[in-house]
Amino acid sequence: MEIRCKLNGRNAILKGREDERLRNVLYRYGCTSVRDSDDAEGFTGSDTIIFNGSLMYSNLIPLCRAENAEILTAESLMNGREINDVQEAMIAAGVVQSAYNSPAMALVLTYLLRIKPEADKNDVRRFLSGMFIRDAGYENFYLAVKLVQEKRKYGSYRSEIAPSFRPELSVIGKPSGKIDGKALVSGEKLFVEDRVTPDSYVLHVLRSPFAHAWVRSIDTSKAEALDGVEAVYTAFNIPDVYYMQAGQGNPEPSPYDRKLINRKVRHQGDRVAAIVACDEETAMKAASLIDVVYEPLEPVLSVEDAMAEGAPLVHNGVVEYVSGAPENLDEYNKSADRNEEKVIYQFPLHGDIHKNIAAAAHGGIGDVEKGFAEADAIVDETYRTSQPQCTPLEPHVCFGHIENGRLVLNASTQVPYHVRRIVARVCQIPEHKVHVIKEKVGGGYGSKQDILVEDLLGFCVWKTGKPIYYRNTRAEEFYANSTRHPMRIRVKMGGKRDGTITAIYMDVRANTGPYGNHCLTVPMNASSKTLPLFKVDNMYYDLITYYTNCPPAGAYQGYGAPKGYFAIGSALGELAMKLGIDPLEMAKKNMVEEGYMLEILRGLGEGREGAVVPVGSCGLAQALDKGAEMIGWGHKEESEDPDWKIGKGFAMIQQGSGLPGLDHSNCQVKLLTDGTFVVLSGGADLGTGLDTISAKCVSEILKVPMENVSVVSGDTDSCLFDTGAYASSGTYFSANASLNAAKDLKKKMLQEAALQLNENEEDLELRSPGLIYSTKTKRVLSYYELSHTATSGSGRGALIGTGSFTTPNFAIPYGAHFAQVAVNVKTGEIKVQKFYALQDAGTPINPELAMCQMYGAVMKSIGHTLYEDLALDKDGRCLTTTFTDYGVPMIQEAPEDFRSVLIDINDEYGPFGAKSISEIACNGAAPAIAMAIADATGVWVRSWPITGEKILRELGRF
Amino acid sequence: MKIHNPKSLEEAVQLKKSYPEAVYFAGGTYVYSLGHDFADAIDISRVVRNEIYHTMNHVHIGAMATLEKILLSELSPLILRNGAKLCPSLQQRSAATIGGNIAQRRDDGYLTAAVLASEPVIVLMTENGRLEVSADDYMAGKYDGLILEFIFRKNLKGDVKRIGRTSHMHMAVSGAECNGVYAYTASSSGFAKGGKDSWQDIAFESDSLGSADYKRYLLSVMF
Ligand SMILES: Cc1cc2nc3c(=O)[nH]c(=O)nc-3n(C[C@H](O)[C@H](O)[C@H](O)COP(=O)(O)OP(=O)(O)OC[C@H]3O[C@@H](n4cnc5c(N)ncnc54)[C@H](O)[C@@H]3O)c2cc1C
Ligand code: FES
Repeated sequence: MEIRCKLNGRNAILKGREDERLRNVLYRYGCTSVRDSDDAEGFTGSDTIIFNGSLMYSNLIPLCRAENAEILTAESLMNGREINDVQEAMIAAGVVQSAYNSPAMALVLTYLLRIKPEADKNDVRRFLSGMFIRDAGYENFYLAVKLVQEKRKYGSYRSEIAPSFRPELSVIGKPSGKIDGKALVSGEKLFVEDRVTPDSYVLHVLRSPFAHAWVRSIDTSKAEALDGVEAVYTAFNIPDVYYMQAGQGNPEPSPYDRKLINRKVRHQGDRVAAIVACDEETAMKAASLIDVVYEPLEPVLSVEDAMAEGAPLVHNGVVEYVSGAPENLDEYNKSADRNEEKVIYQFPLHGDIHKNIAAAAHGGIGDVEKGFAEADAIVDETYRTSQPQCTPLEPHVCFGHIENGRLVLNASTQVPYHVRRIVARVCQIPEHKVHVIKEKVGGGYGSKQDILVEDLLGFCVWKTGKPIYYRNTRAEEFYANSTRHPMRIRVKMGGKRDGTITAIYMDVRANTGPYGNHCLTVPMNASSKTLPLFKVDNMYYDLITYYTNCPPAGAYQGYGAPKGYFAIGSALGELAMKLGIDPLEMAKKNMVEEGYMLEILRGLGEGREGAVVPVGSCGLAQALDKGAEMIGWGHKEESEDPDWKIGKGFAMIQQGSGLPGLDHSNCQVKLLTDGTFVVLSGGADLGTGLDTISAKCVSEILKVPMENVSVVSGDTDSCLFDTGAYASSGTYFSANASLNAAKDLKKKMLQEAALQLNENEEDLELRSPGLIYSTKTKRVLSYYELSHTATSGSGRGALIGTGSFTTPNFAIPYGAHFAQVAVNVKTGEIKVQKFYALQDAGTPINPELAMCQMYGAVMKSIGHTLYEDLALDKDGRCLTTTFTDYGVPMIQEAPEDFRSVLIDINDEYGPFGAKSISEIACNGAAPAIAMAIADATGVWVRSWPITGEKILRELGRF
Repeated sequence: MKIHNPKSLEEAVQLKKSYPEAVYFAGGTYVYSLGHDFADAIDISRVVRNEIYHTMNHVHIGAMATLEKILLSELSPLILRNGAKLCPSLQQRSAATIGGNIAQRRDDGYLTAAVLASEPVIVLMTENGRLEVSADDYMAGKYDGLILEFIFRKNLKGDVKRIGRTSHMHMAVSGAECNGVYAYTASSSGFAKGGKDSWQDIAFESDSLGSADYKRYLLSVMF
């Protein structure tokens, strides 16, 4: 049908089926700001429009209802290419990060300020009540509105957006806005879905209804005969290639335990068939025509199930080792089922698949038994964490086509170079045949470190030669994506009456799900990112990771650290309570400080011996002191309502900045012929501002305004290799490579200028804005002149700086998080009243983005601690496949008083003294909230999510 | 989905008779959202009223009134405004109607407890013409039909409460008290109305909010 309406102030004719979702029609019409994050659940608000004067989810409006309607989309905010003041303020406030729904947010806030120019916090909360934000949190949207109001009233912003650091530097450490902020907030076509061509086919995956089963036979003939079906792939016609989906440095510390499609399905949603068809409808029809004969097997659904005597084996194929095979391997493999997929370790991870063990590790220092013997009190408790999902607003998505005989993939990934390597492997082609273009990533948070869709999509494109698009449904995101590893962590901690901790023992049992993605590295973080915080002589950990038939686990911001902190932070609080001392004093007594030799690291290397280094720059003490002062530590708050009890808690935390000795980054900076610059960075900006950091490095070193610098990143053809954006590596690794490239170019520019000016290099320097100046002759050469001459007919060639970065040195960020929580001891309701996140990120290169990263990460971990729960039924089927059922925190759940504080510390190794910022911010909420709840009620809840029911049961209320 | 556009109430009801499986399309937040796939829908937006107005002793609320309209209107009974506020999303409230909410007889309904406790008359259009029924009888499933309006007594006093793990999760318990009448809902379990202890009539089931015991306990201490 055709309907007439007023769209963004102009008459428009929209075409489509009468019952078609208005969102789809608007997107097709060119309003690409109107996105979908929940398959029309009506939850996240990425599809919000103003419809006849009301804020509406356009997914829930059929086209026929739009007849004569007045519709506004975010495209209405633009004046030509100019963004409006709300969009500008959102960029300034740092909330435009992965930005999948930033245009919709801008539309909502613009509308609010139109109808209520003096809107206050309550109004903002009301208008954002139906918008889900995962990346930057909700807090700085209040600031954005305030900034607009100030600018409209006074002509400029009055509020401090974020503190500034390093006065001697011009752009580093200053809030400047993201270089791609304007493009993102205006709704430009920047995401994978915007690249899909009209002739594109779709990939649909037929998934297993069983958590554990053999596919005994599969008949695809009827599906293949259906018009519009291009190909159907199953376990029986895919290549015999083993790999794994974790995007990690090669050789990976994860076993190759899968093929593209396996004969044995190991979780509900595991791939059974891949259908390539002309459209989704045909693909779904084809899927319904595939006859599969399953032989269901008993599923293994927890660590306890996996450990049990005689437990079903999730993997029972032949085990191989690329290096370091044990001597008894032939004997070990005698009981293998040769129909099953193999498990190929790149090097030993101490797995034992006959006991469902994917990997194991242990290590420590001192003598824990002696330490416990010296203790006046010991706590020995077990803490359990659940299986939170990353829930990026943009689900996993990929578009591929063949161009010039090569496979081109438009991907939403944190690891373009690992995608290239793994896709080349499964297609059995060399890497030069694969071109991966990292598009803007609409949220990753770790889950896009795993190559969960690009492998199969790439294979299908390569085989069929067709352009193909794939996008996970939201339900698939929940049960066929990667999640946090559920863990059971026993902590035994002993201490003396004076607060000295004498020994810590951690027994970590992790659940990796059906495949071993990150089966060593993520669980290792539960110990490797917690124990090094303690100046304790006797510490030991055991780690065992089990295969199960739960939905796949993988990387999630913080890896295993948030879980380790929940356990160790709670144990510290419990021990202090037992000893009758202040947990904060106990923390301070036992925390590391600058220069302390981290012997514990020796046993914490991931699959190899770790390097022992001293603690470098460390703002932990400042963070603890300042946080304690802010929250009024030691002062008991009382509520007027006797049912509400108030408590306070804290956590001291750390993380890493990339993986020294493993990670590797490269960058090039080119001087263009007009004297401006293009940066080609291997680093993958996920919306957190890495490109802006690269631009700032160039701007600072080469003394030009940031406007003179453009950044291209994560394109495997144009940019040099980078291990990728994970393990908090972006700022430390990729930006150090950008810095090194800028310095290299500076050197080359000075050399070339010396030749052109016939002067000594030592007499030349760079001066702002973009000049070479001779301190001897006072002569000046512009970058334009320099470049023009260098690239002229008689020139010596284009000037390009190249930088790479690897390091043995650690740049560890530290911090302290404080929470004040109110608990209703009658109803079990829990309110996070205050949350203060204080972090030492070294030099915060983009302070406003850093603070929003902290707000976003804390919100994620408040979610994990109190609300989110991926629930399975007794057969392993996922019960929580929508946002509403799963329970992510919305603006209503945000702490009433929420602050991010950056502790000013300069690091020796980070670029301009910077360290990482965001992963660490996931570590504090769970232990701080658990301690605050215990302070309020006397009850320690030792499992996620901490619910009212658990508290009330402990209180004996029912 | 085929969307039918009746021009009158009678036609709407006739269409429902011709297509017994069809749903009425009011705000569409249920019928047109993820997971629902109906072959036929009858768009009632042009035939059912959304006005809120007062007569001598009563407040009339058209079934097409959205929760947001109810929330913002000073004419709405306070208990109903508070019920509408339990719907946490402005976009949902701007589309979801009171008719659509009550017609679903939801045990996680935002308005279920408020409507039961405030005892309005529900005006229906049926194949046999207009019919006025009590909210109790409607919620008990004794009558079906196209809801046209809700007629509340004026000056109702009371309160509504809902406890869920988050503001947006379906799984929740709720309760309302209005002029001494109590009503309760428990997700996955059901609803009940009567005295303060009428929650005891609910057959509690566990779900992601918590165990049956927990939900029973919550309702027992709600008022
Ligand atoms: C993500 C999400 C979560 C939600 N969670 C909840 C929740 O927890 N609790 C809750 O109460 N609501 C919830 N809702 C809102 C829910 O859809 C509401 O119940 C809403 O009020 C339904 O109204 P509607 O106008 O959109 O109904 P529609 O979707 O148009 O219709 C819903 C049903 O009511 C019938 N109907 C509609 N109008 C009439 C009428 N006048 N006469 C007779 N039958 C009619 C239809 O036949 C249909 O069966 C949620 C909505 C979304 C999108
Ligand atoms: S219904 Fe809102 S983003 Fe899908």
